Amino acid sequence: MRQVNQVKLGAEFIDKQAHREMHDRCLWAARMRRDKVAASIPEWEEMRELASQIKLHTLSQLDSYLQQFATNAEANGIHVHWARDAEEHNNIILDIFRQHNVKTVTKGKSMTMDECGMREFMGRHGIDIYEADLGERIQQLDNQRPSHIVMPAIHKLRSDVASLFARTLGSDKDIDDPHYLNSVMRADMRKKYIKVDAGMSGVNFGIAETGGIVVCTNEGNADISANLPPLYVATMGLEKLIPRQSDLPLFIRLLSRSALGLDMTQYTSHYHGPRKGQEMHLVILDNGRSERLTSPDYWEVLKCIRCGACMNTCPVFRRTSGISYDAIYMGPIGIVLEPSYDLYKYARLPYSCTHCGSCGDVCPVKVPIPHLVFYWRSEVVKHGFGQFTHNVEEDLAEPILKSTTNLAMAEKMGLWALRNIPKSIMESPLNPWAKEHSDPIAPEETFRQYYERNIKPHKEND
Amino acid sequence: MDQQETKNSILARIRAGKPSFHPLPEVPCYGYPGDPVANFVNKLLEFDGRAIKFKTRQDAIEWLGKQPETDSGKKVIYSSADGVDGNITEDELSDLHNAHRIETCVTDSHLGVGEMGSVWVTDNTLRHAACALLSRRLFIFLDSNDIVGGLHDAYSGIRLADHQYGSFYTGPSATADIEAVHITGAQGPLALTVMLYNCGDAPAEPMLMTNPNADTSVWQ
Repeated sequence: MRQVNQVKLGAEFIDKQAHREMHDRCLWAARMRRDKVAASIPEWEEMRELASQIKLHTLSQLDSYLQQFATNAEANGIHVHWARDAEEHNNIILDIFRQHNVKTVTKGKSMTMDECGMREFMGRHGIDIYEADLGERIQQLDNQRPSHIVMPAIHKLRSDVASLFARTLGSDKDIDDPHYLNSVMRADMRKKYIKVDAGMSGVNFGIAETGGIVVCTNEGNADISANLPPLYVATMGLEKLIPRQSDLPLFIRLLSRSALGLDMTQYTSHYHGPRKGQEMHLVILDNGRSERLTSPDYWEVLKCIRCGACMNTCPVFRRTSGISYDAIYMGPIGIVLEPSYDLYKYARLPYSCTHCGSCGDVCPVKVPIPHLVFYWRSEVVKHGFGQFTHNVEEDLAEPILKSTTNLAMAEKMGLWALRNIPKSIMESPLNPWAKEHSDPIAPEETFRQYYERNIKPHKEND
Repeated sequence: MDQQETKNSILARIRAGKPSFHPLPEVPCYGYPGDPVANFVNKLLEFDGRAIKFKTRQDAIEWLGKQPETDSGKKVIYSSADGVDGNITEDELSDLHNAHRIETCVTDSHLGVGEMGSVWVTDNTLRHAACALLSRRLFIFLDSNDIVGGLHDAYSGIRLADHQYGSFYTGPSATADIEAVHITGAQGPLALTVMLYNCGDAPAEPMLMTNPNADTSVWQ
């Protein structure tokens, strides 16, 4: 099997100037809105810390919370199922669908179902799943994975969508007004909503205390899928639990503000059982999560609430798009999640990072993504899956970073090199760092020298 | 393998490998500054919702009766609100798929959130959630005294487990999936109007408040 080469795929996106500029602009705008709305809430940073603590607590008691949740959900009339992996997940749902003679389904967004390849699996068994989220539907019609957790088609220009819809939904190929394209999608979905046999969705939060699930969307697509057909099936990753109803507002206040810089999702919906005459099923999925929980270096990744804030801020992601990660999860959270599914295949992803640390700063639940990037780099090298440069980096970095003396020497050598090695060599095509960069101007002294002269004496006086 | 066994094997794995105990912090009931009703109207408008204030619920019912959306000769109307009649029958709704014919849905909310401009609706107030979701225009009555400051206040006043379906609706359905262009009327209602009553400051002539920058595309 080949390794995913994000650098190569990213370069293809970078070459498409109009796409790249639109993509960067839209995501950065979401990041700026997020900053503005976060600044309007004085307790924002305190809330991030609390949300992190609640997640850590829940994960540390996950077995008892899962039991509590399942017991309460069953008491609410929800059929609860357990799946250890994608295959079990898909077969459980296939069985439910066969019992109900389901042929067609509308579905709200679910990264967890994507992770299981559920839609393709059902397709092979003659069951048609229609994605009901506009962005996700665009990607389905284009036979492409979502490129962003909450904006699945954000790498596409309106003209791309216009020609796609013209080809697949019979719309006018010359009209690329997003309002028109939305109305085409709306009309098409309405025809589907009123005839499908079942509805599906993912889950944003499961509440152990009440045995209910929370599903957040802006379009209302998941709500229609859950409230119209006689059968509703939801999938929840087992890390999605929170203990109490009173914990929920904390997470809801963080979620959409972090994701899109909006105060709330238009539909923040809570389900505590089937409606009269309906059957409701919930599949609780493990698929590697219980394994991640056992790793002291890695378990905090399970705090993630899938908001996408890390993607909007990531300088690599904004310029290369989620498509270039060729994975279910993309961007900063993707490069630390995907290696846990397949270390060899995704061994290069942890290197698609500039170490700016911004993802960690915006994460609403403080997933330490920057640290996890280093964790995976060392795993990659340890398993012998690294590229030559990755191994050299690891071999060189360890002795240098472990010793203050060595680091100080390396700094001096770097400064010397910057001053004395001719530009023709430093910026030669052989140095990939020089691509689209020129050397920085060499400063008078290293930062350490500056610090020791100007700052340290004052610190000692304090 | 049967479900009980699968469940036990997953729980056993978690029990064997879970991290050491982390304490559960208490979550303060954060408020939200400012006047809840004023915040509610501002936020609702930001989300492209519409708001209108009345002195009494009766005033609101009378105003609603004069709107073209509730012309029962021309429109299919569903109402779960006291004092407002719909024209689609329960019999027709025994097949919920008929809900897609609904032009106008009228319902009640008993809880509004100033922080977000959200209204809490439930299976009790809506009776059929599908009717609200598939309607084109949604009108919701809300007593202005039922608006709380922040989201924490809102959750502390409800019991989620009492409702099969309960949702905070915040403006009409929306999407920004194509080049992040904001569009109202994605899959659900194209418009959401909250009729606030028991408002001391309601003008003598009802005045519909809308966002001047709201999406008014011809394609709606």
